Amino acid sequence: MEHFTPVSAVIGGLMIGVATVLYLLLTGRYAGISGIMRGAVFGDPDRSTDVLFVIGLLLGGVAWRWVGPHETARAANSLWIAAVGGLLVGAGTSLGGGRTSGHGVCGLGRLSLRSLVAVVSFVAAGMVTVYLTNHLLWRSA
Amino acid sequence: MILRGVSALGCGLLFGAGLGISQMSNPAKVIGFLDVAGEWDPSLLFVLVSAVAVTAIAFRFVPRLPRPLFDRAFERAAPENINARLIAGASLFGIGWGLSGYCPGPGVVALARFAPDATLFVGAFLVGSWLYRFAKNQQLVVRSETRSVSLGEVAVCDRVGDIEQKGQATSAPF
Repeated sequence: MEHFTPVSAVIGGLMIGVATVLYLLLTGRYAGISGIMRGAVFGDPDRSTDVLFVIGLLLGGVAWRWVGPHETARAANSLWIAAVGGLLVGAGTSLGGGRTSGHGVCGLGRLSLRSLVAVVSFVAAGMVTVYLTNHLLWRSA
Repeated sequence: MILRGVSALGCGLLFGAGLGISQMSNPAKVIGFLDVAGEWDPSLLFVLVSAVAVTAIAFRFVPRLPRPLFDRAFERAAPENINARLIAGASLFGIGWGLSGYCPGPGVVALARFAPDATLFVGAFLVGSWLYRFAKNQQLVVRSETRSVSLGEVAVCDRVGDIEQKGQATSAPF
């Protein structure tokens, strides 16, 4: 698989943390991305803040692509599996009230036990899934 | 209002660039983190820990301010309910994460490199969210209809409770 990249991971993580804190300080909102995306698309009366955050995310991706070294990103699985994954992530985050950014970055930052339970659950489920697909089913690592 | 919009745009940009730099938007990297039985890559643990290090310190102070700079009040965090719903939702999310290698934010960031799998993922994420909303709204319809028909009929109300529970169960495994 990929090489261990602790330096870029910590830099990126700090940026994510700072962005989350600034978002709370400036707009009063917790930056849970799945909720923001649902807000931007299905929207409350005032969805402009959510929409602009999502546009910012996209621009962040463009900016990173523009200035940063080209990462060797590749799809994890075939396209239809990515689509199935998307469905599950959409339904799961709706049901469980968020995911990595909501429970991970915001919730753990608030020292929320609820979020710790959520993070442990989804990391465990993800690890089991990858174990099944990578080592037992169709894919070789 | 304008300042709030600019703030949202800027925070999104910083967040997105952070996801890009840390390679959260690279599915192979995510799978490498989840693949504990293979060549485990702990990089994403470093992403999470360093992000939480920042929020854990700042969240002690920021919500105590009288109000955010560009809005009236701070959003209240979700109540501390630990229940089956939370764990079921998180587990579904985890399975989807493990299959696709994406979560919503990184999926959007990966759109910037025109990744077909990210496009499908984000589309399917919205469909999954919409299906959940749809199922939930259906339940609301059932409940309000039945209530208006049978005020005080406990038996019917009990059955509505069953319908709601079944509705939730069936809304889960898409």
